[in-house]
Amino acid sequence: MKKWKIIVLAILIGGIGAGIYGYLEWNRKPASTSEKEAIASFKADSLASIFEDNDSIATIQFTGKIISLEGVVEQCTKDHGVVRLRLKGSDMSGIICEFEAKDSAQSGQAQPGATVCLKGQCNTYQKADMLPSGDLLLSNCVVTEYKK
Amino acid sequence: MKKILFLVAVIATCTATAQSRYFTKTGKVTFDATTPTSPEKIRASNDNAVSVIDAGTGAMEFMISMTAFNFEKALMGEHFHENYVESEKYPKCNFKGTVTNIIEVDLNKDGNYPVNVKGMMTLHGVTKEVTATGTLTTKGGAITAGKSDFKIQLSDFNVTIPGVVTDKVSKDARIKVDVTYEPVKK
Repeated sequence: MKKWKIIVLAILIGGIGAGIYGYLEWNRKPASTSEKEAIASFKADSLASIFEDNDSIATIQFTGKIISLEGVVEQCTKDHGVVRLRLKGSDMSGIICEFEAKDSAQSGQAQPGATVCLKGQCNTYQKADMLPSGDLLLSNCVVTEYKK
Repeated sequence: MKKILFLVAVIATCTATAQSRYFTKTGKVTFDATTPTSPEKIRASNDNAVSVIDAGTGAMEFMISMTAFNFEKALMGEHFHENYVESEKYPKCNFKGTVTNIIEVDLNKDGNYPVNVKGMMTLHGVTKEVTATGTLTTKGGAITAGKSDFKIQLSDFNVTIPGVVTDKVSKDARIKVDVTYEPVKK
């Protein structure tokens, strides 16, 4: 094969490859939490206390990171198909866990008093000055285990 | 006798304050920076905004976790969080302000009341005054919902748009707020 033909073919293959990569990257869906590794595991009450004691440091350390959590369900709500479990935290704070849509059917069965193990993205401790207490927010959660 | 009257007055004041405050921890906030030349919708939503409103004074507060904004496409989300609003560095957005015409909201008459809101918003580490219009819904003697649709200039909050996408991302983002309130219980 002539040299110029090889160069044209290489450019063509490279261009098609880059196009396919670009298309796939552009249309990539956010990865599910179940496919991500947790950086740390906590009991819900101890994680709530960490944020209550020093919100700023805990925020730097954990915000945006995936965390494994075990806690007792205080409340289960469903709003427009989104399931949220509020886990018992400290005396002043709880942990609100918002579930991925595809995990909503399973998480929606959680009963108050049940112990649940889950993974989720840690966000911030949400405390409005006009409210007496705040909650830590975990989003995109998936249930890893139910305990009796 | 005076002591009893004082105690009754204190309890009545506390009860009135508690009953006049309404809150949510599941407020919906959407962000839209689409332009006519955007290849697709540049839109994100957050269903976990905390908001409180005091029907007596008109004081209002919002607290939003920036990292909880969700995008349909991963790449768009990564650009938003890493390059634009730097969510891990500035993870909270808050607003503290007042409904300036709260006196026009009649809790005894069910309906939708147009309101004006003015206050300070902190985003991307910058605090700026923001004004917006919206509606408050009253039902059964309580504020049950609030809605607003307003724009913010991204440059006001030091959010810079790279030159290569300058005509693809709007310089002023449209913010929609939709919250359902419930009374704060003491």
